[in-house]
Amino acid sequence: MTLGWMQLYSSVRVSYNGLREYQVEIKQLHHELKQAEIAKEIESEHFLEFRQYVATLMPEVLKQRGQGEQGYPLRSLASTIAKTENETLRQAVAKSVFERGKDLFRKKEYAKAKKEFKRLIKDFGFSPYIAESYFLLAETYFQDDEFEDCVSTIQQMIELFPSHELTGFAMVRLGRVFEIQNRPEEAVDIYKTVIRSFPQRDVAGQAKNSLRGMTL
Amino acid sequence: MSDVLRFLFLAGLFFLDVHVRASTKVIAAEDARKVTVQEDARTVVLGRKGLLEQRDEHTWHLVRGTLYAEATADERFETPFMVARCQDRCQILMERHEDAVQVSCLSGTLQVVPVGDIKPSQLEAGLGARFGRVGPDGKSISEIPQSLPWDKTVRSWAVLWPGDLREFKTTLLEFRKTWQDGVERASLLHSSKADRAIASEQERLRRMEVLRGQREREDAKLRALFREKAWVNP
Repeated sequence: MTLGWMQLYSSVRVSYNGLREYQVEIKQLHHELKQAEIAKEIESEHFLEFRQYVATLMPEVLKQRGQGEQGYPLRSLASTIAKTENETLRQAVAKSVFERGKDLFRKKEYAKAKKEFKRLIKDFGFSPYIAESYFLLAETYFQDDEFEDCVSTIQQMIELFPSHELTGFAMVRLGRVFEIQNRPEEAVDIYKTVIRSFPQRDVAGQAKNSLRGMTL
Repeated sequence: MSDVLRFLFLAGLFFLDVHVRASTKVIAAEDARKVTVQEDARTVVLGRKGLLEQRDEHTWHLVRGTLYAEATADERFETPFMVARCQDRCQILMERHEDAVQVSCLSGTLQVVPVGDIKPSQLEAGLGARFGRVGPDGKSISEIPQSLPWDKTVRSWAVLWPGDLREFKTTLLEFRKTWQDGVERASLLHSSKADRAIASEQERLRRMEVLRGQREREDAKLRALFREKAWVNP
């Protein structure tokens, strides 16, 4: 009899203490959570699709609007697509810009060559062609009789690549600029510095010749 | 007036949004069971823990997990990396990863278009390929077709097989021949690809040698020009 009463009490308690409602509610919430997770996953998938679509458009957009300071956001966006291969691409572009500049220099189209070298220095700062670009830029300024710019470019070269062979040649050119500007003492100083600082035979020989020419 | 126009515009957008969402159907497989969609001309099986979005009557977008399908040219299978369609009637196995999808053609011929590409490439029976994210050239990074790894393929196929096991055994015996042909075909593809790579590498080396020579000559010329300008002929 007591057992029967206890069983009846426990079943009545379970029915009226709200436990079942909670269980149903938990089940419902679990279901809703699962649905929300699926919806989130589907949204992420749509976003991935959109990103893939944007990525397919990037090469063309970069070609048209990815250069210079204004193209930075686009380049940054593209860099998230495939970083390492993008670097290879950048190096290839840098090489082509350099070759174009050199070609223009050879054809004596100095104004156009100047543009290419400046672009290379600005956009591809870590390219292996950077020292040569500075050197040829200084040379184009010299050919166009823009001595101020020539001197400032050579000064930048001295700061950036102090022991590069081309810096030695550029310094000889600097000496020549001083000669033209009627500043012989400074020119002599430059030539002597080159002879002292650059062990490369070509550079030192060039500086010696220049110095000899001045003393004649 | 502008408020009315704005309201109409937003109402239109809402209608479109609801309509588009309602027209897609999401199929999610439970943790321990696969989901099979079997109709007259097609069978699509989604592996356990898989997620598939049916975008219209014939378009299936695999979001997660593995998928097996026996389909005709009407059905279209998508992921963010590629779109595949049977040329006539085919059996395919797809395995979705976060950044790529592995597609295996078990019978028939599959036409696959990597994202960003226009031209479809054909995937013959017994071959598989992996398609990844879009690379710097604006196309999905894909590899050349490979022969299917026997154990892994059979295991995945067995798990997703919609019929009974005796039927699967018969199908597998037929597939063994297809698989052997696939191995042969893949080895030929690889060998021709290797030949082409060797030839192009040799050509690249030859061109580099020519360019190096040219560059050395140009550098010498430039230096001579520089010396001339700087000293001899100012």
